[in-house]
Amino acid sequence: MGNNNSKPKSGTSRPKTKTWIKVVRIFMLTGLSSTALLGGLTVAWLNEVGVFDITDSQLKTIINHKHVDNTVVYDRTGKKLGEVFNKYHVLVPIHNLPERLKQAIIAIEDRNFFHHKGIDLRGIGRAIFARIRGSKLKQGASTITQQLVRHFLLSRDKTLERKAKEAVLSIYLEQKMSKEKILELYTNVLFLGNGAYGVGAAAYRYFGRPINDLKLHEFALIAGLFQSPSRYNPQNYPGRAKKRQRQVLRAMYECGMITKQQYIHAKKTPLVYKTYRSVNTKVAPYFLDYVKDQAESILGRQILNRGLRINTTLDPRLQKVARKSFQEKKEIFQKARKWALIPYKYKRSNPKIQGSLLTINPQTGEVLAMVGGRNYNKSKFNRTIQSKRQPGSAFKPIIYSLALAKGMKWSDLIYVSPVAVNNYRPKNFSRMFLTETTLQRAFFKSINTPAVEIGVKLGVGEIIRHAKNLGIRQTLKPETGTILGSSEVTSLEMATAYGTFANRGIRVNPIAITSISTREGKILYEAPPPRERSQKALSPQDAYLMVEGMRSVFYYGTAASENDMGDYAAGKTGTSNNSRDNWFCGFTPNLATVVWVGSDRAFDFLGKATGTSLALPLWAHYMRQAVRHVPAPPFERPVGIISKKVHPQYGYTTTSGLRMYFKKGHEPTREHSDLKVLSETGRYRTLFEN
Amino acid sequence: MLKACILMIALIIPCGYAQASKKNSCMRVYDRIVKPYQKLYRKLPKTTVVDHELPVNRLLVLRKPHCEKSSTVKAALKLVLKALSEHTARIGVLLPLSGPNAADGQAVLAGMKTLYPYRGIQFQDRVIVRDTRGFAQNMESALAEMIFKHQVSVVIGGLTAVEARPLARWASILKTPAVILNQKNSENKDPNIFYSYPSQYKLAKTLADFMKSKGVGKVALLRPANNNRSRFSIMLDGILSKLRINTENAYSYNPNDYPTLEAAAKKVFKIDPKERAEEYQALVREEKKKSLEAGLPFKPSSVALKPIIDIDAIVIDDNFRTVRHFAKLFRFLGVENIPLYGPPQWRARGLVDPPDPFLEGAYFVDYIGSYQSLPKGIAAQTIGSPFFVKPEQSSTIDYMIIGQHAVKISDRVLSKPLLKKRRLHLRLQILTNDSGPYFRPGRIFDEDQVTTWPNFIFQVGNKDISLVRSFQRQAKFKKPK
Repeated sequence: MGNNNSKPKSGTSRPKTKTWIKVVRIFMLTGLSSTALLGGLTVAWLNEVGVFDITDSQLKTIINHKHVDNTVVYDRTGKKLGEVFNKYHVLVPIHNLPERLKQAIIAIEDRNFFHHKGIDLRGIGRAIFARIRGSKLKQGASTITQQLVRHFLLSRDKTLERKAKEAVLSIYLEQKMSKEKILELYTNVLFLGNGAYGVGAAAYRYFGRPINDLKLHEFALIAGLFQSPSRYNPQNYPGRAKKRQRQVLRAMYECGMITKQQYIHAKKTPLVYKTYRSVNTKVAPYFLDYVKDQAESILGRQILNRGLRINTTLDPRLQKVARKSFQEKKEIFQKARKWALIPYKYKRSNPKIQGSLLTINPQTGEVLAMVGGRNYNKSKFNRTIQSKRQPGSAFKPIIYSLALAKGMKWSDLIYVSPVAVNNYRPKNFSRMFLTETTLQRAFFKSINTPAVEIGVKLGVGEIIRHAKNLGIRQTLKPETGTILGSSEVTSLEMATAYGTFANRGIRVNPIAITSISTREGKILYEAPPPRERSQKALSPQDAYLMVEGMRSVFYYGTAASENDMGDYAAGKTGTSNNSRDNWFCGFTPNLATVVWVGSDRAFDFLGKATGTSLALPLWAHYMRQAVRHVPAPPFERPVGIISKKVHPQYGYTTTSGLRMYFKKGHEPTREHSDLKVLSETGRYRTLFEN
Repeated sequence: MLKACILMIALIIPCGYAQASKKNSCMRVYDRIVKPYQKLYRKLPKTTVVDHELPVNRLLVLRKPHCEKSSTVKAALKLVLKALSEHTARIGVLLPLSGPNAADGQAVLAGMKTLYPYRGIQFQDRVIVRDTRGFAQNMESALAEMIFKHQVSVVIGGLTAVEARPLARWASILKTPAVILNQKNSENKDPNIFYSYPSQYKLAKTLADFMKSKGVGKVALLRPANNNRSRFSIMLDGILSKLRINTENAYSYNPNDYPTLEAAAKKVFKIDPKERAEEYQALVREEKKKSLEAGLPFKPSSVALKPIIDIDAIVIDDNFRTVRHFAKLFRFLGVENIPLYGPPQWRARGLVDPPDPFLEGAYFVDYIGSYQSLPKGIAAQTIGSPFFVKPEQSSTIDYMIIGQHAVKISDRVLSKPLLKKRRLHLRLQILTNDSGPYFRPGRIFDEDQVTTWPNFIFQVGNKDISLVRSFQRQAKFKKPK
């Protein structure tokens, strides 16, 4: 342009020069004016789309973003039991983020991350160049910051407007947040496929391991997912995923982050995926659901993805035994299936026989094991909590305990005959009439009519009040059928009631959660100690009488097939009408367990199906193993209890009788029995029969 | 000459007739007495040694020709008379001391022993006991021993029906007084046969009279299907009819089979869906409607016909256990209350312990009042009330009283002056009770030669029974021949 300052030449050359200059000037002017116009138009357009209105306040969403984390549930040993979430997050703070992963992400997504101010012009240029060149290694033009901005604030539309806003916001963000914070947010928030949000979750979902346990080749795979998690999902498209992983490794190599040797080695290392199984369905899925509901009820809000730490009462050993018992005693369900009288309309759907098991600690009320059904993946209905079923004879301990508390005793004699209360005419299971029995024999043989007689004498209202004291929360029907367990209850309630007998008459309200805290350790809730959750429902003496009564169920009664268990356990069978519900509820001093077997649609079963044939074997199988983990000390006999040997049928004291327990001063005094004489001779006062 | 001839004829003919009559009489005696004695002798165990000089044993050598020759007739008759008169003032007791009825036999024997020493005599000096094992054959052998070896004065036995019948027959033909430890089962009366049992008939009569006094007009009878066990109600049925108390058909059941009990009870209260079909169908419809409204499945068991109570009382001829089950069954069928009556087998602590309100107010008859007022020497172990005895004693006490009563009667017959054996029955007939806590003064045997026992009516209360009425029917005295 130095020519502009030189002297003009004579006549002939002047017009030439002028023309050239003119052309240049015109071009320049045109260019300038076009640029100005374009600039003006751009500015006008930017103004129009609101880019100039963007302020850093719009970044609040990102700046104030709190990391989402799963609520984690721990068992009583502090071992992680499962997580409660709707989006699967596993927070990995930046200082815990493996360096290799960091490098892999930066290499593939934003090589100049630590150098640019939000947008990377060189990166854009390189991306354009790469495209023009037709490179197979596609490089993104958006920086990590831009991706983050897009994720939080903008749509994914491919428009200039969005790009402009993204750029501006990214620049702003870089001014407000450190690079580390941006990277932390980026690695923890973005969806990486397979339900995983963030690299921590992806590590679990794809490799079944925590992020810090992964190797270079695995980091490369995860880093490759950011661009398109669905496209590179290794479970759906393993070929594509592998290809992408290689791209990431190559990018790392190109950036000098790894050596050629490392690159080749990592490239060749096969990727071993671990098919994802949610930890929630593995150990105690029903319990986790229950804990979630309980926690929400305690805190009064949703707990999903709030990063809470919930400590629970679950005993992993017992839970394992419980789950195993369902597997090992499969034949019970097969047997029950054969006995089920499935209505024709349901036969096609092949309904499953269900079962549930619940164990609590009678002294603390802690739920130790919970199996709410046979297969959580097929049915999430928790039969220990949500299912309300008729307990049948398993309700009888409630009646008998009240009777004993009101002054009746195990040796009391009852003539077993049919009973009618209004229009209610219960049957005895074995249709046993025209016989006599003591209260205890009627109890351990589970004869219905004596229980009804006792119940009617006590009054249904009184029984309902007593049941509530023992832990039955359901509204029981104020009718005679309730005496024989026709009012529906849950397994948890039954376990509480039976636990009360085991706990010397003190009812302890059950809990599943011992504490809830935030991720940072702030305690939000702590379960009150058992003392504050307790209420006296029976005297220790009356409770002990029931314990002995229920031990005799093992020795002589409906659980005699497991009679050795009477040495350390007590319990009662229950079978509702037409065997729809089959129960066994029992306990040791340290464990109260309730087992139910039946069908969700309450099908009738053949008469062979009973608490004895279906629930008891499962209960016994489980408890035999459970007591290896939680010892069963002998039941402690309170003061004021004495034992006497009593004839089980006629109720008189005899040395050859059955040992029965009584409150001191209430022991039987009858040493003679007319019925005994009658049964031995077949006659009574035989004068006129000779 | 003619006159002399006529006189001769008049003298000779009566003599001839007298001779002929003696011969006939001898023949009759031979057939009716001597032959049976000889027959019984054949039942004597072969090892038994008897004194052949005893008149009774000399009968064994008498034969028919002795009555055909005039020279021997008189001697023969004299011998028979002597054999029927002589006795050793001992009592022969024939009891089933082993076998199925041993307990009863032992109880009777124990009761007998409670009497002694009596009037200075020891049991073993007065009583000879033999075991019959409850068989007629054994009883007859023992009886033969009693007659031919021990020449007993009175025989006591017949505790079982199979022994009682042959013993009565032998007592009659041997002209030996026998006290039968059983009920009188025939209308026939023999001067040598006495019954020391409480009379079931009299008990039934006492209860029937009481029911009449209570204004009972119509009764249903429930009794075991076994006839042997339902004699009381059979007798009662007859007596009630005589008293113009309308008795429904008697309903039988098997005491060990609940459905038969239920069926009998339903018949009493006319609970029969077939007979009351219309009413039953109406009830079914009503229940179905109720079930539908309540959204519950219809249960046929909830439909029950109401009982028709067109009787004033029910007699249950069974023991306390069956009564208790019936009481529950009645309630189950919808019967709130109905007067119940029953026999002595009701009497047991088990009737009222545990108490059943349904039974309160029921009545039963018995031959024992308070167990604290038993014949001297018989001690009952009462439980809780003077009206209840230790169950193991309930039958034993009965048999002990019978045993003691029988031996006491027999012993008193042998008091001095000692009568000839053939006249002992006369003393027995007019014998009266000592004044004692149990048997009241008065004639021991009634006109049927059955002992008169006291009868008691008891009422069932809440936890006990109470004595409502007691009396002892006095025998209608007839002058002994």
